[in-house]
Amino acid sequence: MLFPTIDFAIFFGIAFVGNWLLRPYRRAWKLFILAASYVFYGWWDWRFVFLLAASTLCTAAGARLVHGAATEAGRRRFLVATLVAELGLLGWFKYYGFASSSIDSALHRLGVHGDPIPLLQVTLPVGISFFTFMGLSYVIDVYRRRLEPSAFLDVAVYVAFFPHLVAGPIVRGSELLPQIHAAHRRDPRRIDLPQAAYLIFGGLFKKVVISSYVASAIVDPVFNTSPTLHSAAEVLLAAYGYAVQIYCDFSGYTDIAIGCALLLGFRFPQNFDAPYTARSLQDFWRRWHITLSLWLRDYLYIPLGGNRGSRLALYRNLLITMVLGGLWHGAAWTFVLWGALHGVGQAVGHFRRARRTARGLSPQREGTLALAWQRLATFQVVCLGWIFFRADSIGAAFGFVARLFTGWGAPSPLVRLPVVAAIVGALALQYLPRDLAERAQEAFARLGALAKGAVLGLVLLVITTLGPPGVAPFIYYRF
Amino acid sequence: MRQALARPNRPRRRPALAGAADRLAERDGVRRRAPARGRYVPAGKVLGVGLACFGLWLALDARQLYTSAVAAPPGARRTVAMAILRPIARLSEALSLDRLVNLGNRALGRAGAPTPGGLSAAGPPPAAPSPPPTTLPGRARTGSRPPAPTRPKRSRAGLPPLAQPTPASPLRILEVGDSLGEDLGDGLADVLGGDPRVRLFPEAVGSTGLANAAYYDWPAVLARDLARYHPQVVVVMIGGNDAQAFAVGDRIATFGTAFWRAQYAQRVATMMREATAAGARVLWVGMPIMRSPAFSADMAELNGIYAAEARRFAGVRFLSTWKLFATPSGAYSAYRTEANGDVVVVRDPDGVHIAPPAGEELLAHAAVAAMERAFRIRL
Repeated sequence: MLFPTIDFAIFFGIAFVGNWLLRPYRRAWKLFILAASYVFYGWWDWRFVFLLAASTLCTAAGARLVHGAATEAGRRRFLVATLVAELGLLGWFKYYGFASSSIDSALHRLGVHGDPIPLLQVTLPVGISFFTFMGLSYVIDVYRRRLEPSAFLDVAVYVAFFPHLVAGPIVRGSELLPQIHAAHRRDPRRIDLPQAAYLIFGGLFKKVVISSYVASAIVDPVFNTSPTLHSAAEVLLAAYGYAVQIYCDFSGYTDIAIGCALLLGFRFPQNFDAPYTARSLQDFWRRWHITLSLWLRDYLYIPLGGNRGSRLALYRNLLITMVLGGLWHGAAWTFVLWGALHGVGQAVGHFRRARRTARGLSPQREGTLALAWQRLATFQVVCLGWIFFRADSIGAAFGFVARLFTGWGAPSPLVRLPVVAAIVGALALQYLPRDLAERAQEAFARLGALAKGAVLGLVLLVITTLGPPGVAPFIYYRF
Repeated sequence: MRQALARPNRPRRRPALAGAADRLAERDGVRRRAPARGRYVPAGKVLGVGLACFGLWLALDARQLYTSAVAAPPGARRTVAMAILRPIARLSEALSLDRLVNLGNRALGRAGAPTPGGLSAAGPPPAAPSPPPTTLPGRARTGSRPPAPTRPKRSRAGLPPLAQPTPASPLRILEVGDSLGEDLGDGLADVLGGDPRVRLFPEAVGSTGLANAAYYDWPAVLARDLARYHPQVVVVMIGGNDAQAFAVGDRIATFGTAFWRAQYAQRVATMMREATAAGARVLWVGMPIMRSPAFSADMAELNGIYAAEARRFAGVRFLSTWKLFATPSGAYSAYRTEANGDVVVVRDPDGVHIAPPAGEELLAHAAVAAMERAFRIRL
């Protein structure tokens, strides 16, 4: 079920009423939310529900076994078994086709002409990367003795809870399980409506209006065709446009998810924080898909050794983490290169900061001009990465990059004032003072109930009028 | 944009079970000042605000929503949606509440929501939408379509031969269709895009088809495109959304029936007639094999209609794409081994669409070869 649809509005209305009416009855509430979440997920394809159930079983049983093992070796064995099972499910659905075709092509190049590896195109169930990572974090936290295993029903609700199910944020067990456990203690008289409404309607605007418009006006017409067909100006604007599109699409989704959770009485961690104002790639990853970068840091980068070893080891760990982070997004070499670009970029940034610190300077130059330059340069590198992220193939990606240098002077019919204004406006919004939204929410809070409804109704009308007919799926559904 | 929340980039503290929600709130930085009065609202009031919001939106946007409901494929969902929306839309129209949306649409350069079935008319709603929303000018409507022609002679005499395209006099190709047509358009742009002897106008629109004329009126759009681009060749790839029932007057044509086939064939013929009457050749590209056997069977049925209709018109050729995406034994395949041994993906994971770039280019090369053969040109 997609968020910006009538189907979801009706579904959420029913879930909201059931959620609060059943609040005092712990077991009934959990069963209701679990059933609602499975309906939400099964709306795409009912068969995927079994996958979600299998992943939940794996997670719950793995944590129990790890916790109950008598020896450290036993704990480790059960952890490894759970990781293999969960990653095996993810790998089968997400990477089988990529791996088999890559191996087949490589064998052909080496002159090995045996029987081809059986090729299957496996349909990717939505959200599998998200709920697999949530399950993994829970089992690893139990292994690290940071969490006690929870009751099966609690774990089932944790993994399947519909607001975060298909595109995050990746909520840790330590963040959500205590809230599920104490769900009967949520106060039904204290719902933060202004913040929830701001998140939901702001998210809808970003997704339905901005992301859709920029995609159809510049991004798709450029990236869906050959690089040679477009001028440098068009390619450049399409790269900036994609930066806006993917931000509005993904942060729009998580804002709606966080807002819906708030209405149900739950708090999710924040996932975005004005990422295009970052002054370095490291800073970018503190602001972009925050829950994924924290996950990668805690469960991949630090276990690899983090920044504890030599400088070379640190760079290696950064590169491995970012390349695997790229592969998490999808089974394609374009994602590998995107991750590698961010890994190398962060390593270079780290090297430069370390050199400045060794000379007794601040890690980064300070001052308004320096800050502006750092932000501008970071944004260009991020957009260069987005070209690889968006292009259909590595060849096409390099074609687009080459076009940036060779395509000046060609006609640019796609570069029009409205689309330039939309992109510049969307980027400028990231620089708005932080408390502006807070003030808007407070003004909204002071309105009476009917006025609140009227304001939201008009905002919804603006969104549906400005948006295109039909809703494109969120980009991150396929990750 | 989301600016109010503080950056949660401080080091993660060792979590404990108790008080996690409070810590999250603190991490998000959500409450920095004392909350304003009315900030926290009871659940019942939230429900009231939500209902007021949707009520107002429904009242103001009912006509547009009703139009969307009418355009939906026949079925219980459409019936229920129409039954609910019709009285609200009528009230909205009577009170002129729809003016706001119409104003907005006009400001955006879009046509306002039409009123299929005539909202103002008394009496029960029509069992089916009368022909299509007039969002585009210069249309040939399905309702006013002339009767199907008698079988024309298979002759090319009516069409002058195509001149060999040159940069000075490029071949004008209009490409139309649904999302599979978009895939073909992308492929043609890749294959022919750099060729100065060709001008390509890719005008396929996703989620469209010939079955549901109330949702998208292809004959009207084609008429507009023909008048705008004056193409010498029209490439059509459509049908992925067409294995569905549609309304003909007060009768429902159910997919798979003789009535459906006859009605659908008429719509296909209308497209072919429009294009050839405008002096263009038509390459009608058939639906490819699909991963789902049932869907494949539906598409094979459509292909039969396209091929049969193409035979009836001079200047129309049907290109079968079935084997392009099948194994030698005739099964669906999402992969293809290139001459150099590379294994490439040619279909999207949905088992329906054509994967870029290899699949789209494969399809486009087939279409170009077919045009060269059929229309005696060299590209």
